[in-house]
Amino acid sequence: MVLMICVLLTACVKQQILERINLFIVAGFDEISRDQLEVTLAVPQFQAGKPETVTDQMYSRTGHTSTGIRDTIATQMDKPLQPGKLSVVIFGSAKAASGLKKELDILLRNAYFSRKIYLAVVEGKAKELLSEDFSKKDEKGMFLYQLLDSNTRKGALPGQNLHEFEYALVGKGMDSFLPILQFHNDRIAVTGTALFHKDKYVAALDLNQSRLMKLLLQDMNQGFYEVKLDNGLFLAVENVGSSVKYHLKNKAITINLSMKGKIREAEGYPTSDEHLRSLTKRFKQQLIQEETELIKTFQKNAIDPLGLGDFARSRTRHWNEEDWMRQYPMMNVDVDVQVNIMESGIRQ
Amino acid sequence: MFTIPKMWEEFRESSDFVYLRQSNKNEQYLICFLKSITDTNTLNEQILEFISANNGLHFNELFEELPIAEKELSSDWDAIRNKLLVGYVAVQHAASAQTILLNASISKGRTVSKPEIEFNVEGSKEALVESLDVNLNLIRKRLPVASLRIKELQVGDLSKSRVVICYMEDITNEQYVQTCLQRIGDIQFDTISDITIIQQIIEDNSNSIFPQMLGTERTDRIVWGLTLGQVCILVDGSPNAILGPVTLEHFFTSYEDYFLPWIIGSIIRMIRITSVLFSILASAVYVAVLTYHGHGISNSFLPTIIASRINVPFPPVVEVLIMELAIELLREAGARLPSKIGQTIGIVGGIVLGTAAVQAALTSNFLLIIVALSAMASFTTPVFRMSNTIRILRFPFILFAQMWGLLGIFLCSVIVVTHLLRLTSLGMPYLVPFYPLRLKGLTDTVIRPPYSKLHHRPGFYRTKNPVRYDNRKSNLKKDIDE
Repeated sequence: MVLMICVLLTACVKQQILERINLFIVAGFDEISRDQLEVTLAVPQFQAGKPETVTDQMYSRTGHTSTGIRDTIATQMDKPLQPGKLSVVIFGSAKAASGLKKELDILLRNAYFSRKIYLAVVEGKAKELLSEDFSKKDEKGMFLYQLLDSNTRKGALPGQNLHEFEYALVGKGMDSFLPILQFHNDRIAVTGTALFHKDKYVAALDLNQSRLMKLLLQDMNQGFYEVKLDNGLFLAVENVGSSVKYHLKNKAITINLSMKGKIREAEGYPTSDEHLRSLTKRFKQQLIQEETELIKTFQKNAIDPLGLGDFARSRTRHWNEEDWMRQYPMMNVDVDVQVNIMESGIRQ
Repeated sequence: MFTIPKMWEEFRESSDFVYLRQSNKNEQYLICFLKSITDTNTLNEQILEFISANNGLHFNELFEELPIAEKELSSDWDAIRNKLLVGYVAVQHAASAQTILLNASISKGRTVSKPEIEFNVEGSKEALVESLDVNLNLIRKRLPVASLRIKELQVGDLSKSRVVICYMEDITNEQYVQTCLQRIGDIQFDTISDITIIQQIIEDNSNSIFPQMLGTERTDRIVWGLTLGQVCILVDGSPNAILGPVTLEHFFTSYEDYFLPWIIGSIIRMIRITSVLFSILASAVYVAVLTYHGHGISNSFLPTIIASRINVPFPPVVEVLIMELAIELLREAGARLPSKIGQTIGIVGGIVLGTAAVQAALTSNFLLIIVALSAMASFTTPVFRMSNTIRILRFPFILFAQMWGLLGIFLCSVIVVTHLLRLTSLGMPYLVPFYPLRLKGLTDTVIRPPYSKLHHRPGFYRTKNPVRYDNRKSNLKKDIDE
């Protein structure tokens, strides 16, 4: 009896033998027109016995729903298409600007997709970026995955994976953001941060601003910051440990940032105690100024990627999102910075 | 002058039966024995010599004076026959209806040698041999206390095997002894040539692939078991003994663990348990992941697996079964052949076949690693019968993995665990002390504790005396001036 059930039930699960399916690690979404979508998949082609040489085959189709497009793409393939390995999804900037709700729904609804998928916005079209030959060694999807992983999750730039993006999107009092990818001079690079209002891409930050934004998002122990001195000299300070705390008092938010730093580059600048003190002061002023400007930018666009609203919600009884958003652009957000230069290197 | 009595007729058919007449003037003796099991030195120098030297003694006086320790006077034909069959010499006199039986038996066997199966680096190199008396001697020597009881039974209509049950009178629970005695007494099988036959017959569940008695050839392990409250069963002719009751955990315990410092011993024990799990699950997980859960493989690992699999024409399950069968083949061939050829087989099979199979794209080198590793891992099991069980247990797991993926592996483990829960060893639950949970019994399971923590016997043996020593009184390592 048990054996019978075993035999009869075996057809109930779909078998997908790993090398007999087509996987894709990266997918790109572009907007063609209001209801037309273009999906680009980079499908890795493996070679027997040579795990180090993986080439990509690009498949691209337009249609109304991405599931429908996947179906038409599958008609060109010799093996069934399996979406389970998708790790990076990139959106063309036009697509991002017109909203990502529909695409997110596909990713979130299907249990095949990992919640740790990296999302990114492409300067230009995703299809064009994917068709460039930017990765000499790795498979394109793998390369993009590692690029985003080392720069955003493990690096000094802000970025969100699918789960975090959705959390910020659905959560009250916060907005989401994604890294911006750009193809330039044969290389792909993270060039900034795309800020979202709801699911729409509304503003962009450059690389420096992105770094400063991550300082306010979480405690960090890496990243380099340039200090401009009065005499026009630039110094580089490495962050060896920074912590950030928000305080809410009388409907005004104070952000306390304290950072321990090491001087990494100071050619032509004496590192005596006195000079260090003035450097510290200069660096502190610069940070306060830049961070305040950054927050002003957020307020101007009425977006809240830092999640200040969410923080206020956790400290306020009967918090109301509408009220908050009405106040937010005018709100007084103070940035208080403590800088401690711990060492100036092993050279006098 | 008397003729050979009728009763010897059935022996005369055997060529090793000797009967000789010895006449001393007016006394005439008929001496019979089986020369294959009789010591001719004893016969010549002690028995025949004595009879010819003491001419004129009365038959009964002769019996009294014969310088042999084990002697009997009997007229019962059955008794005479049985004694003759184990090496006694029968001496008859024409004037007497009785027969003198003198023990002149000789047993030929190998001498005590090194353990072959449960080999160890440290500790004694003494293993049981085929002769029961030698084995008992080895055990008695290690436990010179009167409370070591040895009960002997005879089993098997044809083999008439001597089966011995050893236990500690003041420690072992009476129930286990009685169970063993009763089950062994009830054995109906005609030839008991080895202890494993007894083990299979008296086990609580004879249809289980899990052994419910622990076979061992190490005398120190037997003594350890006896002092904990286990019963030991030996049979004449088998160089192994079985200990019972046991729990599943005992099969992953090597006695050598007790010779190592407790931290090292514990780590080795944990490695062994992990490797057993690996051995059971590795190839099944390979099948499940490659057949159903490809998206569970990390990105960096993906090219390696796919590139090694891409030219293999079989689905993963066929590939795995072929490789597993090949390994079983190697193992079986290696075990059946003399050890010198066995090595060659290992090299030819392992290296040549393995490389060729990968080059011919019959298997992926990734699987080759998994299969070889899991085969190696299964050898870490210190008890041979359990390592057999583990190598068989892999196959249902692989089939379930093929049918339902990881869910199938889970289902199969549910079935196996359920089976283990139902098993008992001489009435003791097989999974104790994990289930039913006996916290104090957990002391010596995954971790091999230091001897300062081994002051009590595990409670689940229900021993008559749970205390090994009084740990309050023990104060070793005193300072000399204290």
